[in-house]
Amino acid sequence: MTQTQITPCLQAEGVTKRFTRGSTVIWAVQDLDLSLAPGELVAVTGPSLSGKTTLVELLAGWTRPDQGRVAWGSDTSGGSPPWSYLAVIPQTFALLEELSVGENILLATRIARRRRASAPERLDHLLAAMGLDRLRDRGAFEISVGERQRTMVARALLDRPPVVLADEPVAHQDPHHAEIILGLLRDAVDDGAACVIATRRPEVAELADRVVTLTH
Amino acid sequence: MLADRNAAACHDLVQVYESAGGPVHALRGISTDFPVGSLTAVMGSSGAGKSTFLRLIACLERPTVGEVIIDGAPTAQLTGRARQRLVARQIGYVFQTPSDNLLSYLSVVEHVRMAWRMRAPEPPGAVDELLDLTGLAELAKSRPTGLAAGEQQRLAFAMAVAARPALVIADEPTASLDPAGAEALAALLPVLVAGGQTLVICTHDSIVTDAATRVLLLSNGTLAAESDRGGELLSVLDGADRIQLPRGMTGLFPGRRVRLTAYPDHVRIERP
Repeated sequence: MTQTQITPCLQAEGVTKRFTRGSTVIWAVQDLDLSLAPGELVAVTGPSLSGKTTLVELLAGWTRPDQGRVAWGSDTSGGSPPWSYLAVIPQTFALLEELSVGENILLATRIARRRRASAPERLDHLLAAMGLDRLRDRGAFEISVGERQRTMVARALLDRPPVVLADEPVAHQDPHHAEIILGLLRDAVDDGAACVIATRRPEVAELADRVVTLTH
Repeated sequence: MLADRNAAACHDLVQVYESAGGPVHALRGISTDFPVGSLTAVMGSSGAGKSTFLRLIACLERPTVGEVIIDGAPTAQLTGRARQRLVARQIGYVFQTPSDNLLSYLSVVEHVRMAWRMRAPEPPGAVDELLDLTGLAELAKSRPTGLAAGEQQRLAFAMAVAARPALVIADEPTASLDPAGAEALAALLPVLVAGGQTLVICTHDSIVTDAATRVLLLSNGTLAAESDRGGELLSVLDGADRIQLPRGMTGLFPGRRVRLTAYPDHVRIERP
């Protein structure tokens, strides 16, 4: 019996990454296989320091694996995928302080090297959904940690990328805003995007179609 | 004449923040100016108001009272967007924490290129030249998470000076640098000044203050002292004609009462 093969939009094969700290070798990710199909939400869980962030960086193409490989869509050349294909919600290094909240979200178009690709209505929609509309022209340094994180989520979702990687996307949110963020990620997946959420929180993992658990 | 122009100036800057314990007076009336091509070092103990002062001069915050003038134009009336445009084009800012200026999505060279293009079109080779100048050429393809703290700070500095904004304001830019890195950065400062850029740097690092053409000393939200061109530190009379005693001198006056005697050309302060 033949089945129609869905081309995965992201595929990791035998991916291994280790760091050395002094004479100690830390296996951040060891021989991991992961295939992500369009319209799929995968949660990566595990305790602190189990390698969740390293895995996100490997899947984003920001870090090269020591062994194995990561491929995106049909492109297997090994470079990191463009932002217009794969957007990331990282935990750190995420906002430019001298820009306003709105400008930080629109940075997506600069990161993607596309000028003003996104419709202004999309920005308005995301600002309103995240409760950021009043903060649009505020400087990024003036807003709270939770608001910063929502700004990053809005930036990642602005151009409706086919793949979204989120590293602890609700870590700094109250339950109300956590629900909004997870709802927006779920909406993106229902619209056909593939999404990976790295999280320590079991209730977040429950929303996923599939769960990958990392151990030390 | 070029030397008479001010890249920035401020009059009677007062900044009051609301906090749970009541209003906090971060700045209590500061007036000074920053001539084109000067390097001003801003010093003072923590809590003196240095970071607030820098953010106000950079138009990142609005003062409660007083005004900031950039390149001869008052900024108080600027609306949100015009203000953002002014900041983006004319002012480079280095935040105290380098991560506040960096994005994990972009490599070192992509950061500098983006910063350049946000201000002006990028001439061929300009970004590579700046990476060389800031010692980042070999790290061009690295991402912020793969950089040491000092390297992150150098990258934040390179972004702030990309496309040569008229005014560069830096909050403790050598704080995460090792001595060699601090020296390399300090060597870069006169090059920028000679090119007509105006620098305002908050620092405790003597390697930076030695390169400064002027030093401002903030204390308790006021401008306590300012060096003249000869380098001598002069006390500053504030708007209400007050001056502060130099640090450590209050011990001479345990009763906190002094006898002031006015002479035609000087004033004497002594224990009663």
